[in-house]
Amino acid sequence: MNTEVNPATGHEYSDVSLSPWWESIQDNTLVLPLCQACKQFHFYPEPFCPHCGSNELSAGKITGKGTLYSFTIVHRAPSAAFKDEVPYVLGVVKTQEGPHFMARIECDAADKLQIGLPIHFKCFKSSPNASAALYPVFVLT
Amino acid sequence: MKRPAHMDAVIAGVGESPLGKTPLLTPLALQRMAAMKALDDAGLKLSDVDGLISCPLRVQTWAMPSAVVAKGLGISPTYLSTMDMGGASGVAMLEQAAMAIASGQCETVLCVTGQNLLSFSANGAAVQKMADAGWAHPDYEAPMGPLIPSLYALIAQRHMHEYKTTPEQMAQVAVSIREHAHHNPLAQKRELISVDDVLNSKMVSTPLHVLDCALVSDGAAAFVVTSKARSRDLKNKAIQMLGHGLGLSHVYIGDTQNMTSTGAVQSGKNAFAQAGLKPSDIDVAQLYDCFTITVIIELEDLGFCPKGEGGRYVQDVGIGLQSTLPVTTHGGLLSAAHPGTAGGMMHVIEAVRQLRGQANNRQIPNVKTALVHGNAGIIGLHGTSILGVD
Repeated sequence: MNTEVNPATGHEYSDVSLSPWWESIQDNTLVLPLCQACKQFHFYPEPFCPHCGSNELSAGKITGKGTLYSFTIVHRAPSAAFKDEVPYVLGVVKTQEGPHFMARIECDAADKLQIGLPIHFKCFKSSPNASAALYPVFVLT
Repeated sequence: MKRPAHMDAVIAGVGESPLGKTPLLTPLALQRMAAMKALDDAGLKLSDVDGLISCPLRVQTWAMPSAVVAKGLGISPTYLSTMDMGGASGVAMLEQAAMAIASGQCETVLCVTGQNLLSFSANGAAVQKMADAGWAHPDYEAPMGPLIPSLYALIAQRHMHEYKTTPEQMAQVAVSIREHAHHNPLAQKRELISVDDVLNSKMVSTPLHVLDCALVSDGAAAFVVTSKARSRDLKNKAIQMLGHGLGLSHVYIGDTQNMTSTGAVQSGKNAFAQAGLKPSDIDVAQLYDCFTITVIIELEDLGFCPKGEGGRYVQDVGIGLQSTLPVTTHGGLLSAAHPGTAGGMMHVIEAVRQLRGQANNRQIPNVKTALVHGNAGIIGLHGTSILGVD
């Protein structure tokens, strides 16, 4: 994790808020920004804690367990890069720790999917689009 | 309480360019056609315009969009502003124009935008351009491949789960709004459709079919706002602004904790309070209809039916021209046109026409109050205006 001095406060702050997925790749676990001041997680990442405004953010490991808050099966690819992947499932994960975020859901039969089912983190995959950014994949528990 | 700025301004004229597919018209050409029609409708000239509000486009990047449009029209206004509030821009322009007039910066504001969103390239390119436009979080959502319809599909699926809303109820929104477009000669899609047509149309992102989704269109829209003092000279009846409200809940749908209750609760509450009216006082509602589910949630959050009852309301009470509250009577984004932010301005234009009694075959009798609602982003930013006529 890189650190530098925040010119506004003179304190060191980390860039964890900019790269939580990337930070966690080595052991394939999920981390989210965790505020050292108010001890609350948040996501999507912000440069300051949206709950209390502190910039003392650290990488907090989460269990990777949660429930399926909502989902959709995408039938039309948004661009040529995704053409070979349709249909695929996008879901919103409600984590045990609180924050919600979008993830791909892998499931052998789409009719098994239901809002409220327990799900857990499986792995990261790389986007087929130009960013090649990693995204999290969840499966039914 | 301070006297709201809109007390001193009125809507003087409205107009739109040809809508649908107009491959030979550039954004500035479309905007000029809409602007001239709105000025003519007001009985004003381009030389009367001393304020201009315009929006950024999707089809090309303009530095200082309002300045580009002003120079395109050949005017040098004393007040210029660029509005960038997505689908809430039309409603927000009204309020901003009124404030500019109340502050004394100008007396007659032209609000105009539009583009060749359909024709500038193949439809696939428009879809990709919109998918990449930042409505999905660029780092945490876009890499997974959501369409804009996928982001609204997540909302629809959750609404179905929480409130037992059905695909048939959502389809009924598209069917009723298409019926309104059938009576609008300018609309891009006028052929009547059934609930089965919607349910049998191509699935885009479950549970939303292609007929649950807005069109992609070419077109521009304009309206002119002027001072009350000036309104005596107008060609048509001046339309009063009775109340405005804004409400923001989130930007990205993936991180919101509650998908099914929106900023429309606040925007509606504030607009009604300012107008001194309640939902049952409204004669016609031009609700933003980027997707069928959007209309259902707006009916609930604006207080036209209890929370969770939007789907059943559409099915049982109805939103057609003969219903208690006709909704989006020009055909909206689902059937009239969706060229980007100009699409939301057309809801304002239709409210004005209904209030003046100029909506022809789709005229609702005795309209005294109209509500216009704009929604931006992934149902996160909302603007409500309540308009009236003396």
